[in-house]
Formats: sequence, structure tokens, C-alpha cells
Amino acid sequence: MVSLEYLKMSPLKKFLYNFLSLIKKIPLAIWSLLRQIPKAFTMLFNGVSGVFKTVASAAVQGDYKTKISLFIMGFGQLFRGQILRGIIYLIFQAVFVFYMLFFGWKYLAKIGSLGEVAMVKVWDDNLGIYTYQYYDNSLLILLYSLLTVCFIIAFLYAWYQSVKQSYIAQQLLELNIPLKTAKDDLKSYANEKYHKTLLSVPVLGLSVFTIFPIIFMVFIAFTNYDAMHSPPKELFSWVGLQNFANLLGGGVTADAAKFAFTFREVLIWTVIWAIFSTFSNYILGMLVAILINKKGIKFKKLWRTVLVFTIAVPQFVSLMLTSQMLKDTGIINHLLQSLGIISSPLPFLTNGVWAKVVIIVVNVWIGIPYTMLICTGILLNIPADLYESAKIDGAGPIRAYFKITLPYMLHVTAPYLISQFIANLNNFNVIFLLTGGAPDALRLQYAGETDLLITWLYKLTFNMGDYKTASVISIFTFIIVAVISLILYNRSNAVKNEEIFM
Amino acid sequence: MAKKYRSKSRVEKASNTAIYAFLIALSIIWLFPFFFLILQSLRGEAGATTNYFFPKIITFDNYIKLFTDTSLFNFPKWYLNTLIVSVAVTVIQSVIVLITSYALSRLRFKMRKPLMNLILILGMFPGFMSMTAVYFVLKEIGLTQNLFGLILVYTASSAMQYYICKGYFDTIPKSLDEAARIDGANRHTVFLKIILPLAKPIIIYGILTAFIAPWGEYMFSSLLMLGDYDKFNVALGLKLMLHRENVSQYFTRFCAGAVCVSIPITALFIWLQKYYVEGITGGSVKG
Amino acid sequence: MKKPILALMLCIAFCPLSVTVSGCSCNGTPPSSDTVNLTLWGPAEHKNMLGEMIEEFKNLNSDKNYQISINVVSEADAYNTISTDVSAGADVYAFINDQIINLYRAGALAQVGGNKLNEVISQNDAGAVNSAKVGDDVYAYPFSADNGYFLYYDKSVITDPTSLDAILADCQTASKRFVMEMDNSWYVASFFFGAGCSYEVEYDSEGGVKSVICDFDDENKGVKAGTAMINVASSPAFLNGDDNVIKAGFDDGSVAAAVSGTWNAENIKRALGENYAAVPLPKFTVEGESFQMGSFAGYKLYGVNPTSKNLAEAHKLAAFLASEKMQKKRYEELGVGPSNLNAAASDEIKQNIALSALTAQSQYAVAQTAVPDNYWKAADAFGTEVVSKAVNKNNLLSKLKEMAELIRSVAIKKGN
Repeated sequence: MVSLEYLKMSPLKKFLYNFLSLIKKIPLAIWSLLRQIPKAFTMLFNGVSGVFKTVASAAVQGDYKTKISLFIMGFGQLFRGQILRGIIYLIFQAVFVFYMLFFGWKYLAKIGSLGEVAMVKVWDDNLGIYTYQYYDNSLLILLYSLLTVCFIIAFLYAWYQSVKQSYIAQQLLELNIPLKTAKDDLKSYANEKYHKTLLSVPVLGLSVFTIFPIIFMVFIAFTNYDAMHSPPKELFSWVGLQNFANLLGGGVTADAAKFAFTFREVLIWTVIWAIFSTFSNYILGMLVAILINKKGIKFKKLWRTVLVFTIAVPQFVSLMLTSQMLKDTGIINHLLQSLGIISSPLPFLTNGVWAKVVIIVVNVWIGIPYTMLICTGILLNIPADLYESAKIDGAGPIRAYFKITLPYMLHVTAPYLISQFIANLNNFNVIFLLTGGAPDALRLQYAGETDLLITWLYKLTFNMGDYKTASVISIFTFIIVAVISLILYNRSNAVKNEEIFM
Repeated sequence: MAKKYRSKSRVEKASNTAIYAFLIALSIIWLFPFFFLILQSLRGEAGATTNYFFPKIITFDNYIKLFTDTSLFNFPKWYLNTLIVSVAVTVIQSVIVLITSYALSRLRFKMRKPLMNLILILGMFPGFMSMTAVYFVLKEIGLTQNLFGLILVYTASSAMQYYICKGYFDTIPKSLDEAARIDGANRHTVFLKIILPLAKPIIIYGILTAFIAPWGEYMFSSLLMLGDYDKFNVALGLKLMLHRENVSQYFTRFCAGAVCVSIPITALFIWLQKYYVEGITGGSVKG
Repeated sequence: MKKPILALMLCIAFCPLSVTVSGCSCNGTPPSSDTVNLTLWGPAEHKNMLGEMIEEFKNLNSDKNYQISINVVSEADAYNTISTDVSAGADVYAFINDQIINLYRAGALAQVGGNKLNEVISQNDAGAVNSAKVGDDVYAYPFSADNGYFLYYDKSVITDPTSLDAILADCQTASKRFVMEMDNSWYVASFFFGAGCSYEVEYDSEGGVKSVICDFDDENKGVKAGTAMINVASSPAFLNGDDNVIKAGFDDGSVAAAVSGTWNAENIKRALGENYAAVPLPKFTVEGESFQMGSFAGYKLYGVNPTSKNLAEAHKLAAFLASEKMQKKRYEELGVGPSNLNAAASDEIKQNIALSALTAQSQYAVAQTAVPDNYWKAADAFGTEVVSKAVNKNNLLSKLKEMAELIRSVAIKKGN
């Protein structure tokens, strides 16, 4: 559509047009996402074949030092004068061999079966008790096997690097280019390789305590680890895609059907909650920021400080407090009743629909200060002459808001909005502390009316011990959230490019 | 002319008054629950709920008992535990966030975008699902039922908080970096001598957010400590006080405990509010 | 040149794990010295008393050096606390019998055998012993039989405590309330058991559910029970509330009758003074027929952790804590009703009003053996919906069916 025609349309038509074009773009966005997958595979394939090529050429064309590096890591470095590097490689190889012999092999060998015998109970006449002997622990087998696999991958990578470097060094020497000394190396870590220095510890922490547990959890989804198959007493084993089938309603029993139904219902509420909570906080926060920021309002700092209280007081205190206050027998109902406004307690947290609204309202109470602060900061940055020229042109405050403030704010805070939306999809604290997912509902299995996917997950894991189902749900949640956020981010980038701004 | 002027200021005055009224109402609503909290913490009568708002007996007993009656709820110990954990986490996390944000903002390397995407994706997994695995990893290092284990877990994933800090660094003009590098400084010096002094608001923001976090964390600490009472932190302990069997006797003490936790943090927050605002607006704008 | 260092770092991270672990053995070897270290978990209210009991235990067994530490873990939390890592849990811990199947499946209970088994069976009441069983084997030491409920009421207001309708009428006349926690599955059962419904779960020897019999959706009995619940919930004198509401209500005089258990006895006695009374649950009337309200009879037990490094000693401690003498002591100090037959037959206990009410109610009570989680969730939801009026006479049957399906569904899950 040509811009002139677009500008001529009434606001309603414009809105419809934008909305429809957004919807139309979604399948395109998903398709472009999907196209990335084969691209990623090609990259991976190229990378792997590159590795093989290098190793092959090193093996064939390398001199004796390089060839021995294939078996003793660091050999090439040691004998070419890069002593420090060589020693590091050697130590690493020794540690790895030591680890595999004494520890890794034990667990990796059992990865297929995840253990044969878990526990044996034997009556001991002397002591007058049943004694217990423990053997295979499926959980530990899985955990340590994964650890070992990670270690093996790291080792292979280091081995590859050692061979490659030796080969490259050999080629450099043939061209009479001197090799880097240890001193050069250390210097570069403060400069070109500074990112390595800086990021080593953070990435390490991330790998061990975030990435590794997630990989572990994904593998659990393919086992039958639940309350009935719980180490150290029982083993669990691989079940392939059965858990996924159950969740999607593939199970034949009525039980599985209900489960799939519950999943859909909880998912719908999760998305609705995320949309409402994000936008209510944003719009109301912006409104309050604008009001406080208006010329002629005094004590700006005071108003802001008062509102900021809900950020300052730990969320867990605020939420537990409000949950006590909003009970049927809580203080708010008592006050309303004693003031004569109502005769019987309002079911703030005990009625499904009420509870949903109340949660969104309480979330506004907690969340507005953040959005207000952000909007305030941005508001202060809008050039004042924009408003002045608007006034000269005869625009009232409301028009100025819709034509100047709102577009500017939306443009600038779009990434923030998106990240808030994603965060709210997984907003555990607010739901858990405020209602605990209650009120319970018969139509939902093990879930309450206000349960998000994540709180439902928590109940499944900790109250039912049903880790395998919880893992599967986590994976689904993750996929949904990832797809939504990737689409939104791409769209916001597209918006940034398309918009004729300022 | 004069007439128009006067009516305009009257309209403006009216709208200002309306806004003031709105703001006052808003403030009352905002502070009402905390007012209630303080009143409840001073309440002398026992019981979880009362039918009236103002307590009949005002006493500091709850506060005193909170710190002296440690047989069942060892509040002072928990407070100390959480304080230790907070301070340690603040130091470590601030450093990690700063260096990660700087690396992702200023330095260019092949894995930069993939790393940022990876962190984004990692954040989408529910945190507590990995708790079991983390617990067993810690068990092998021997750090379960131990405050150090808690500190380790809290700080290990600090890199995921880089978002706002990086945004802030992005707003610092790159010309400063380049000028310094032309003068011969290596990146390390640029970071320490040029960027950090300019980053005061965001450093304070980082410290503040890092300090506040452990006071409200109850899930992982309950898992890690596995019933080892003395090592609980404040959030977990207070939550225990709200259990069915305890709440009627200990609700007022819970309120006292909550006040004890909230006051230092709130005071800190308000004192450093200016930097917090600067940090958050600077950091979230570009994204 | 650059990347290997990163790889190196990664591997060094995993190094300490491997080095420490390679020297680790998963099952502890028995200690060589004479010191026996044991950990005990008990609720906060019991902490002091447990300290005294431990001293007595040490005196009786002075041949070994016992180091017993107590940690506060409430009986209701035992499963949640221990389930993540059984081998790091306490050696002996107190729990409520509804967790027994979960604890058993998690491998946190050591089987009781030999002399100790005979003692448990012969000295405790039959319901208590049943509650300690999984299949045919006993897995814990019962020490308390008072986890049930009955009726407390104010003598000056309630004239006929045997009829629920009369109670509600009296309360309404006096502008007072009758409180019951109807959205709690534990109390919901009283209507259904009273109307003659049954709920039985059969376990196999591995702790799996073999079969579930539940006829809560029976068109006759189930509907009668559900109708009674709806009638009570719509009475203006009825208030749905938990123990805190009950306690506060008796304190300020707004409540004249309530369904609760022995844990509230002291509070209610103090609040009502001379007007304090406790009797078995009343009868409810539907379509002219009267039914005696049933209840769940629950027990508290000490469990022994099979991964304990001092298993025999742990059994000794648990047996001691659950012995007749200690049960008597527990009653004297904390008012906890014993499961030991001798202790329960003492005059003191017979004179205790609350405990007598409980005993009298127990003839209508269904022993709360291992009840699977889905029962609690399903009945919770049903009770919640009755209270919130989401269940009415029209949809009663379909709601009952929903609840019963959920309850029965656990049997299908086994054998996965």
C-alpha cells in the first residue's frame, strides 16, 4: 500500500491494517526461523569436516614432532620452545587419563542401561535389622556420564588444538617466522585476547551451574524418573519419546487426556497473564511517570520515592504479606466489611476469576515502580522543542501524548517490553507466593486456576516427584518461549529499520 | 486575551489538583500494606488474623522475642547467614557482571553474538529444574549444607545479568576508548582507567541488585541446607513461620522479621536511588 | 592459540570434581571408633522434649558414645526435605503417616524386623500398626495416634451436639459460626465416609498402586454426601476456615462449634473455659436420613533412613523414642495422644476430654493408610468448589464423577 493511501485511512483502519500485517508476518517469521536450522547444520558439518581435514593433513604432512603430538599432547610445543604451553597440555592429558581410568569409565559404561541393581535388602540376624546395600544409582550414573562426556569433548578439542598448533608452528618455522613466546602470550591476554581473560570465569560458572544442569534435565525427559523409579532405591531407564507422547495427548488413557487438557489450559492462562501483566505495568507506569513529570507538580522526588518502596522491600515479603491480607478472613475483607461496603467476604483468592484479576493488580503494585523509573528517564530525554512546536501548532496535551510521547517511548523501550513479556511468562514468585496456584480446580490435574506453566511444573517436581513429566513440560515451555521471543526480536529489529522516525 | 490567560491557568490548576489527589491516593494505596506490616509487628495479641486494623496492645515484644527466643526460630543466626551470603554475592556478582558486560559491549570477537543469544536462551529455562543436578554437583565438591555452596551457586550464573549493565556501557561513547588506545593503552587499561570511573551509576546499580537478591531467595537454600536449621537464610526461616502449624503463634513475629529485613534494604535503596535510576534508564534504553 | 586455553579452563573446572570423586565410595563403611553419630529430625514444638529423651537414651546405653544432633523439620515436611537426597537426610525422623508411600518409594524407610517388629505390633493399636505398613511389611515406628479430628463446641450455645443441623441452627440463633475446613480433602472425607462411601488403595510390594476402590461418585451415597456438603456450605452459620480461624474464632467468641483435632485442644480449652466440650462428630441429615460423619484417623511415626551409616543404632533410637515410656512422656509434656495400647489406657488419658472424643470418633474413622497424592488434590479441589459454590445440586453428579475419576486414575500409572 502506498504511504499516501495509508495516511488517508482512519485510525481504526490503520490499526486493522497494522494488526493484519503483523499476523501475516508470523508464518513468514516462523519459516525464516526454520530455514536457519539447515543453515546451522551446514555450518556444523563444515566445522567438523574442517577438523578432520586439519588432523589428516597434520598426520600426513607433519614432521615427527607433529606426528608424536597425535599421541602425546604438547609434544610439538615442548620441542619447539613453547615450554609453558607444552607443559599445560601434558598436565591436561595426564589429568584426563587419570580421571577416565578411575572415575569416568565406571559411569560411562552403564549409560545404556542406567544400572542393573540398585539396592539389596538383607536380613542380618546379628544386628536384628534389615541391612541395605546400595549399588547402582541411576541418577548419579546419568549425571556423571554426562560430565564424562563433556570432559571427553573438551579433551578431544584440546587434543585437536594441540595437533593443529604443532602443525601450524611447523609451517611457520618453515617460513622462518618466529613463534610466539610465553611472554607474548600473556601480553595478548591483556589486549587482543582480553575478552578471553574477562569471560573465562563467567562462562565457566555458566557452563557448570547453568548449561550442564539444563543438559542433564533435557536427558531426564527421555527417562522414566519419577516417584516410582527413584534412586537410590530404584533404577530408572530410558523410555525414548514416550513422555512427549503422553503430554501431547497421545496416551490412550483418560488420565493422559486430562493431562494434555491441563497443559493447554495452563498454557493459555500463562500467555494471557504475560500479556496483561506486561502491558498493565507498562501503560500504567508510563501514565504515572508522565503525571509526576508534568510541569507544575511539586515534590517529584517524594512521589517517586514512595512508589519505589515496592522495589526496595524484598518481593517475597510484599507478596507473602499481601497473600495474608487478601484472605477471606484477612484484613482487607475485614475493613471492607466493617466499613459496611460489603456484607460477606470477597473471594479475592478463592474464586478462579477473582484470583486472576487480583494477581494482575498486585503485580501492578509491585511492578509499576520499575516501568515508572524507566519511563521517567526516557521522558526526560525527549527534546522539549518537540512539545513546543506541537503547542504552537495547536495540539492539546492528549494529542501530544499520542503523537510524540507514545511513539518515542514504544520505540525506545520495545526491547525492554519484550524481555519483560518473556520474564513474565516464567514469573514464578508472584504466583507462587501470592496464591500458590490456588484455587484448586477439578478440571485441572494437579494444577490450580492461577497456576502458570512454571508453578505447575514446580508442583509436579517437588510434590509429586514426577521429574520426567516436569522435564518434558520444561522443554515445551522453553520451545514456546524461545519461538515467541525470537519472532518478537526479529520483528522489533524489522520495525526499527522500517519506521520513519524523527 | 486576559480572559483566556486566566481560564487557562484555572484549568491547569484544576488538572494539577486532580493529579495531586491522584498521587496522594496512589501513595496511600502503595504504602498501606507496609503500614499494616509495621502495625502487625507491634501487635501484642497473638493470632494470625484480627478483625480490626489497629492493634489493641502495642509492644516491642515481637522484636525482642525475635532476637532472643532462638530455640525454635533462630532469627539472629539466619540474619547473619544471609548478611554474609549477601556481602559475598555482592562482591563476586558485581565483578562478574561488570567484566561480562564490558566484554560483550566493547570487545568484538567471533562468539559474541552467539554468546548473547545463548544467555538469552538459558534464561528461559525454569531455574528450579536444574536444582537437583546442581545439588549433586555441589555434593561431589562437598559443599552441600554449606553457605559457600550457596554463594557459589548464586554467583556462578551472574553472567546472565549482563543485560542492563551492557546497555549502560553501550551509551559510553566509543571515541573515548579509541583515544586511549591511540595513546598506547591496552584493553585492560582502558577498562580499568577509562570505563570504570565513568560507570559509577551502573556499578552502584549492580551492587544494589546483587545485595538485595539473596534476602528473598528461599527455594534453593531450602534444598541445599536439607533441614540443617542453623544454616537457613532469612527468607526460608520467615517462610517457615507462616506454615499452618506456626502461623497463629508466629505471625506477628514474622512481621517483625520482615520489617527487620526490609528496613536496611529500603534505606540502602532510597539512599542510592539516584544511581539506580541512572543505571536502569541508561541501561535499558538501548537494549 | 586462543581457544585451547578456554578448553583448558573448562577441563580444569571438571578436574576437582573428578579428583575428589575418584576417591569416593558411595556407601559408608562402619565407623571404627565407638562414637556413634546420629541425626534426628523432629518438629519445633518437640525440640526441647526430644533433647531430654535423647539424654535418657544416652544414659540407658552408656556403653557407646552417642552424638545425637536434632534438627527442626516439621512432621509434615519430612518427605519434601528428605526426598532430594536421601543419603544426606537424618537417620531418624518424624513424619505423618500420609507420607509413608512417598517415603517408601523414595527409599527413605528401612524395614522393621525381628524383635523390634514384634514389639511394634504387640504394643501399639491396630490402626497405628496398619498405618506403618507398606504391603504386609512394617516400615516405621508409630508413636502417636491422635492425628484425627472431632467436634469442639461451646456448651453454652450448642444444645444438641449430635446433629449437624441442630448445631447450625443453634449457631445461627446465637449469631455465631460453625467452622470446618471444607476445602481440605482431609475433612471432605468425613461426609463421604459417613454416607457409606469407601475409598481403598491396595499396594503391591514395590509400593506401586495395585488397585483403587473409590465410589465417591455413587449416585446414591456419593450424591447424599455431596448434597450434605452443599447444604452446610450454604448455611449462613457456616464459615470455611483453617485452624487459625478456629483458634481466633473461639478466642474472640465468634465461633461456637468447630471441627478440629487434639492440636487445638489447649487453645480451645483456654478460650472456652467451663464451656469447653469435645465429642465425636455429629450426624448429618439428607432427605430425612441421618448419617454419622466419618473421619480419617492419622498417625505419626518415626522412620529410619536405610542409608544411615549406623543403621542398627538408628533403629534402636527410633524404637526407644516410640516406646511406651516415651509415649507417656510425650503426652505429659505436649499432650500428644499415644498409639501405645498401655499408655492410651491410662486414667489420665481417659480423663482428657479431647482424646476421649478422638477415641470415641475413631470407631467411625477410616485408618489413613498410605493415601496417594491425587486423592488429596482431587478432594481439595472438590471441597474448594463446594465452598465457592461452583458445585450446586445441578452439576453435583458430574463434579463427583470428575473427582472420583481423578482419585481412581492413579492405578493406571503403575507399571511404567
